[in-house]
Amino acid sequence: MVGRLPRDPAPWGERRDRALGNSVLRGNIRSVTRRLADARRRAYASYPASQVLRVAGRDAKRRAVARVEPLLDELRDRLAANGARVIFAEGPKEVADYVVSLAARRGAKRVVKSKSMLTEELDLNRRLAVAGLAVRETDLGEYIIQLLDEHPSHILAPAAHRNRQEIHALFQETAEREGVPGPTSDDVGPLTAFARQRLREDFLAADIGITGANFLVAETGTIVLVTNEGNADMVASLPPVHVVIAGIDKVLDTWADLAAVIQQPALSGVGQRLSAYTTLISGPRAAGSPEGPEELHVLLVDNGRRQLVDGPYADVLTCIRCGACYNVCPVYRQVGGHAYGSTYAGPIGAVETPLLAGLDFLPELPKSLCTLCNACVEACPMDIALADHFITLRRRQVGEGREAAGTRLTYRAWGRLWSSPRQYQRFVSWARRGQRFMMRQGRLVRSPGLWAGWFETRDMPPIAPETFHEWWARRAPSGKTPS
Amino acid sequence: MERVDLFVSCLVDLFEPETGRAAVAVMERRGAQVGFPSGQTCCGQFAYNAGHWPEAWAMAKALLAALDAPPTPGPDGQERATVGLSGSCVAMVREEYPKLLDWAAGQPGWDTSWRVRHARVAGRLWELSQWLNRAAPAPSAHQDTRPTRVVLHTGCHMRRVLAAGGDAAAVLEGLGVSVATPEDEDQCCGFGGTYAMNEPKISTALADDKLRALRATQADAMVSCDWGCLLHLGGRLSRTGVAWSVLHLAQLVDLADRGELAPAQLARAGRFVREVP
Ligand code: SF4
Repeated sequence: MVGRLPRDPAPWGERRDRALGNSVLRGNIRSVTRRLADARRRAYASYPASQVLRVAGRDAKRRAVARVEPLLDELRDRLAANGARVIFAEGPKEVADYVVSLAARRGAKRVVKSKSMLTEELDLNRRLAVAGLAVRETDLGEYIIQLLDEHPSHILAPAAHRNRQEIHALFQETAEREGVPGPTSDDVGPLTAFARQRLREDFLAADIGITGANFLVAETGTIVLVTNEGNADMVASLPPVHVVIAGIDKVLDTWADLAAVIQQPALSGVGQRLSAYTTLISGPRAAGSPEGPEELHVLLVDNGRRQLVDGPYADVLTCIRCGACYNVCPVYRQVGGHAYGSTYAGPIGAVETPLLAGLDFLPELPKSLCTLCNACVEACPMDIALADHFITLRRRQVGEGREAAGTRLTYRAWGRLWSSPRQYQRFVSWARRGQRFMMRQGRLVRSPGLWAGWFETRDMPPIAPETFHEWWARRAPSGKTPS
Repeated sequence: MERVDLFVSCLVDLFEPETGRAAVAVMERRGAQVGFPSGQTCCGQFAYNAGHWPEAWAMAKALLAALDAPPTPGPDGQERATVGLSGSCVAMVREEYPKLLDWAAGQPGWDTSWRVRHARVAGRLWELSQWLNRAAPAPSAHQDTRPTRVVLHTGCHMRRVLAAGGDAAAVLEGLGVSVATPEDEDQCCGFGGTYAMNEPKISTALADDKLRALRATQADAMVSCDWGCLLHLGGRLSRTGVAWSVLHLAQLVDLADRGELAPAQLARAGRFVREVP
């Protein structure tokens, strides 16, 4: 079954123009993506084992996706044996309903969360708020965008589109509203100190903690969280109830597989050999243990993933959400994440979103957000065939007749004329006659149909008075170069 | 004498035939006997990338038939290479056609012999800089004392799909030309085939970034092995009223061979050198 993802109601053209018109956003995205891409390159270059590990990690993920159902069963049994409640959930509604009824049973009011793209995908915060729960994001970037009432613009750096000055102003405003002292300057130190102070109170007051999971190890029933801020540890251990919400694609077979892939999110994402915090959880508080949550609930979510397991796009499920493809993508670097219109952006977002939610959902993504430069293919640690997927998704859209009739006809005629040398020659003479009306100062400046977009911003030389074919025909008999 | 068949690409044929003529001269100077399979039109990449595979397949068949045809008259029985004047089109034939063939194998009218023909064509197909980098050097004309500086733009398919990014720079350096490296050199220029037409705003934003980086090198000319990128970047220069020498590698090598590489000569040589008011 296809999944359900949130979407920006604004049409593509509006989202694109909004992004292109925002020079602060473009400047911020430009510097963040280049910084992260350079860090990744340096990390790989200075770490001789990195390629071998990367391939081992990739293979571990591929094996797991190929055997996802038995591995999920094993994971469930292991976790259940450790005292966790494991639930297979289909989509956004099932997940939200579960959390809401859990909160009702526990009389819970306050929820703290660590960073999770899946809960963004499930639009969980909004759904919980509707049910009367107070939700606080505790990852610094997520905290910022929650205060701004925005969505993440980057998979790893949710507030990548905002700079320090903007964040300082936001925290000042928050401080005034909440009647507390604001950050002393717009340096990173005071800004994080402010957030930490505010979040501490939320951690201590929370009834439920919600985290995602980077990996789930079936063999041992272990939930693995990889963070750089340590907030996930607090979310997972301070509140009396911990809820893990993870996609079914996060499962791995063995502990050895985990060892193979554990460095990748940080290595490919931010250019560190390992993230600052790696948290391993295998159950709720054991009898006699002084700390940890009383209850652990693990929701394993489909939302459009299962239908991909057996098809040509299964490798998409091996994505570890490192963001390396975002950081090198020329289009992402221009427009940032919000222009993509849903949760995931960058190359993987443009490919995975229509795969999860159906080809009708944001149909512009495969066509309008990729130049096929292949930079993402080069960067992706999991070797996901992103460029091929872009092309075959376009092929499916064309095949299913999702394209304007005029475009379709133009391609048909183009294909017919150009697949025969004789017809091609005829095309040349027609085009020569036609282009006389489209020139200025010896250059082509406009064109009808498919090509019109080019001339909005660029000129072209006209078709040459003598094509290479014509020149060769003139030269060929003697084998000598005509003057 | 090595026989070399030329695969010029549709853009060179229609818009930049001078590049094809320069390539013939350059290869003949290096001892090749150049042929031109006249059935060739276009590799079909624009249709393939846009998802119009039936059209792409029709064009691919025509190109394979042309490039696989018996050679144009000349001493036979020799090793024959095909040299392409577009990195992107060579990448298409070598690296993408297999995927198109896999798809076509499931379509009506499929004939397995296309795989054989493709293997023959792809196995002897090189991009110009790859060929030049292995060819014997031409008798060199003497150089101007001030070294010419060009900035090289390597197309993304040439760099990443064909993995032939280094050859052009090596060829240029072998000619005594100094090659400037622009900032963000591996970032896409925004051409992307039909992407340039479908998404002119993003495509142009990328062109402007690329041109800023290229122009910042203050090189005498911009050179590439792909007229796709060059027409997009040069067309943008033209529209914004900037004059700059924009050349294909074949033209630059031809100028070098003829000893016409002085910066002043170079500045007059390329496309888009004349400012349009
Ligand atoms: S597609 Fe590859 S590069 Fe992009 S986020 Fe996923 S794993 Fe990372």
